[in-house]
Amino acid sequence: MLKRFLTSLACIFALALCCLAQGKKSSPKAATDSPVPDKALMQKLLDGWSTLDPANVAAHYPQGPHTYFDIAPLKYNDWDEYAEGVKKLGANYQSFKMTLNDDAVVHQHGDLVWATATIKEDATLKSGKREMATFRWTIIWEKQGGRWLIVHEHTSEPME
Amino acid sequence: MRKRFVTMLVCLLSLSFCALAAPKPAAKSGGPDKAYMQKIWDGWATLDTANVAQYYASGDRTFFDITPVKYNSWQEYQEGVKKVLAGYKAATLTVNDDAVVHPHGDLVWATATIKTDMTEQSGKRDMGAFRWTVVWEKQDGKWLIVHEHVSEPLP
Repeated sequence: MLKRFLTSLACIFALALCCLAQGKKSSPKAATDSPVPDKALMQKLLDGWSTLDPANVAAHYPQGPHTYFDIAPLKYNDWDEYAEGVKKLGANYQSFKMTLNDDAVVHQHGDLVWATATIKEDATLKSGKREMATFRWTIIWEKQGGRWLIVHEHTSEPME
Repeated sequence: MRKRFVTMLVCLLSLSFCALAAPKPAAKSGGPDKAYMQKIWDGWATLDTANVAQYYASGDRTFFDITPVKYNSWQEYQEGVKKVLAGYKAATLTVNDDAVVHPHGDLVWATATIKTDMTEQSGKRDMGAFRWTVVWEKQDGKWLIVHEHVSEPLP
């Protein structure tokens, strides 16, 4: 009788472990989960960047080594480099406005979202010169700790 | 004895179902890697789009190249690039060591800078660096590029 009881207990324990292991993957969303990136978030990011202060978008970027390709220079290797570089570029402008065009497309793939869009740029340099252009934007988010963070971004301007 | 055997069998069956239902890990091999990335650029270096066509997905896709603003499908992309490539007589395109590949199940994305060494029809040599973001999806067992962003930084 005792042996049978122990056998059953061992089986139940194994089943419980198995279910626990799966539960980790399929647990319901935490209450703090941020919404899945969409076009509205993309415009919000551009609005943040348009302030020319990276602090206004810093919350969307993770720490650690990540590749960011911006208009210039060749590349940034993490958020700190990126923020510092953009701050220097931003110092040349008195105003900067970026508008997401209608061709934005967002693709969700589980806990990864990637999106593409063209962006209308309308900026004024400190010299007063107006600069208008179209940028291309590829952006990749990963869900980390319930938050969607930008793990890669590629912004560029086509050559003439 | 028989009851114990049946109990054990039920438990073993349950465990087997449990294991079957568990999510499968992403394939560790066979997906795009740095060697595959170089193979794609070797294809582009032939200056003939027919040599890279097999790497690209058909249908509506966004491809950002050096110029113009964008292409909306592989068809548009190859037609546009063909005109640009006609201005060159030789090219060597090398994926730099900073290439990083991110597998994500049946999607893989990667980034790299590319060393470019191209010779125009006039004989003028163009050397520079591209930035490359690429997204593959596995479709019918083949890894196809569903998005690509190639650019040069502004001087």
